[in-house]
Amino acid sequence: MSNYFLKRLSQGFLLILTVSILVFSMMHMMPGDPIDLMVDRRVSQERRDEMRAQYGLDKSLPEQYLMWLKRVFQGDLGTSIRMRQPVTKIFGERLPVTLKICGISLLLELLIAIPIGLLAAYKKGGLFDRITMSLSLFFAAIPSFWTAVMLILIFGVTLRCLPISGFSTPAHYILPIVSMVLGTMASTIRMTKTEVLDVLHEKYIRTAYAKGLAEKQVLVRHVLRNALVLVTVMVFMNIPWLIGGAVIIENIFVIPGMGSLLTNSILNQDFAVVQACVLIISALTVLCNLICDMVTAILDPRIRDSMGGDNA
Amino acid sequence: MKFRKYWRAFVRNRNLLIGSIMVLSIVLVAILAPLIAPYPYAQAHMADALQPPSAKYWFGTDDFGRDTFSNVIYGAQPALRVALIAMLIELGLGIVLGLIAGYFGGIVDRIVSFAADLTWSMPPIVLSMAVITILGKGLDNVIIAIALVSWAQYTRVVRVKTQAFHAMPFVETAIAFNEKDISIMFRYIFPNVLPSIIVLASLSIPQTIMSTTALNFLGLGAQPPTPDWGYALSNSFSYITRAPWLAIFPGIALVYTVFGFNLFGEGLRDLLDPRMKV
Repeated sequence: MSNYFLKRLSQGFLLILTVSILVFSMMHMMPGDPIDLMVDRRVSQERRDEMRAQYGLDKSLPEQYLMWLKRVFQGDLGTSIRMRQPVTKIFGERLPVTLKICGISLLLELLIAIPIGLLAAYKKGGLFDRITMSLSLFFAAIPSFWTAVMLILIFGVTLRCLPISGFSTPAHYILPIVSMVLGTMASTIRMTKTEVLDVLHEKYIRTAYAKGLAEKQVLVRHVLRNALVLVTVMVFMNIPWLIGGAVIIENIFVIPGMGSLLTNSILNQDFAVVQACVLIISALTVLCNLICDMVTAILDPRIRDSMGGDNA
Repeated sequence: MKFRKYWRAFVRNRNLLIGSIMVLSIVLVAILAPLIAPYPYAQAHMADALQPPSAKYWFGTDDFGRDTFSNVIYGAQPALRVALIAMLIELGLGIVLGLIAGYFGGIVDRIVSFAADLTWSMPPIVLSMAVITILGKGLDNVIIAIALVSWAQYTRVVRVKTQAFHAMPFVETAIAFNEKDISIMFRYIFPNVLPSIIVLASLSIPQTIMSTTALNFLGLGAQPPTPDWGYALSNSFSYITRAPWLAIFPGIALVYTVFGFNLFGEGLRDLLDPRMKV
């Protein structure tokens, strides 16, 4: 068992390493001189040469990578040429905002979606199932940015009861979070239902019924536990989508988070910020996936055995 | 019992029927756009800027006096083209790699899974944005970015299901009878994985349309004067109080398209999923 966890940890490490190499090479994959990405166009030639030496751009790529990595570990993610601030400082202000929105949305989504998905699968073909499925099919068709625009139109412009941009009072949270939850909830409900149905068709469920267990016991001890494995996978699969949703939602509601930072930096060609955003967001996602696999392995011994035992 | 079975079959077919009609209508609109649209999409009528919907301009006009109805009609073209190209690339890559990785396991599995994990280690939109940062803005680059992002989801699902089926008695029997690997993969395992692929693919076309529109919405994809719903929506934002029709109609077109494809996929799944007929 510990063998599996060790293996998975090293996989995660390898992943982050590869991501960091890719993020580092972004700078060299782009057309033009890398130094132009790091300093403003108006900076003098002497200063440029000085920077070039300082960042080791005259050295070989592996050496440059190691220098870059060292700086990253020291907390130096470069300097934003538009905002004239260290990227680390900007992140300190922006990251908590995005994490907060994503966290609240995820929690809300799970609390609503999982019970609905379970019930729909259990009473498959019933009225509740049919209504839920039709509704979720409909909501799955509405992109979060249009939901956001329509919510703004209804609550912000017509009814004038909720603020439509900024991030200062709790009321400011309502529209962004509702847009985000509505954006991903439909697919979560559908997936939960599909996965639970899969479990319901398993032989051990029939066995559980056959040996005379009460309905409730079968549902809680067998169906729910096994469906939970798949739900865990879904939750963590959802996190990238949530962050993706945050990119769009933050732009619409002018929320000072990582998403709006990333978009503006791409549009303003503020490369240091783009690079750092991609690195941090990827590292976070890798971490989430890692936790997901650990939890899955704890919940389902079959996965653990099949992955940990192959060369033991 | 029999009645309920037929009733359910009817409901299923209705999904497929309505979905097919909706998809067909979108395809027709895309092809016949020059005939349906009353004006060329880029034609500006400066005197009629920000007009509300009327007999002359069915869906109103934007800040340059361009007809929103024509813009919405022409917008079907890039939406469908992008979705189809991206989906074909994703599906091919995803299914083959997933089957191979799940079936053979070992080092092959590890390499494929690593590549999949790598693309999966970034939120799709962030990876797309990173690719676009390198390649530059534009619709073609958006297609590349989206295909690069999405193949992994098929691989992941196909791989996990293949692993699960690999351990099942009917596959073990086939192995015991010396069935060829490729035959086991495609004749024994693939049909069982197919329902999941169809569910995924059915969600993939609309998802691709949404991702593209989202990137266009952020100003990274289609550049004006390309008619695009995402771009139109982001443009509408500046006039949300004065001209709400600019936000409403491109959005409805987008939702109609995505909903149509979703229904179509759903109907198809119910038709093809053997377990649901039990």
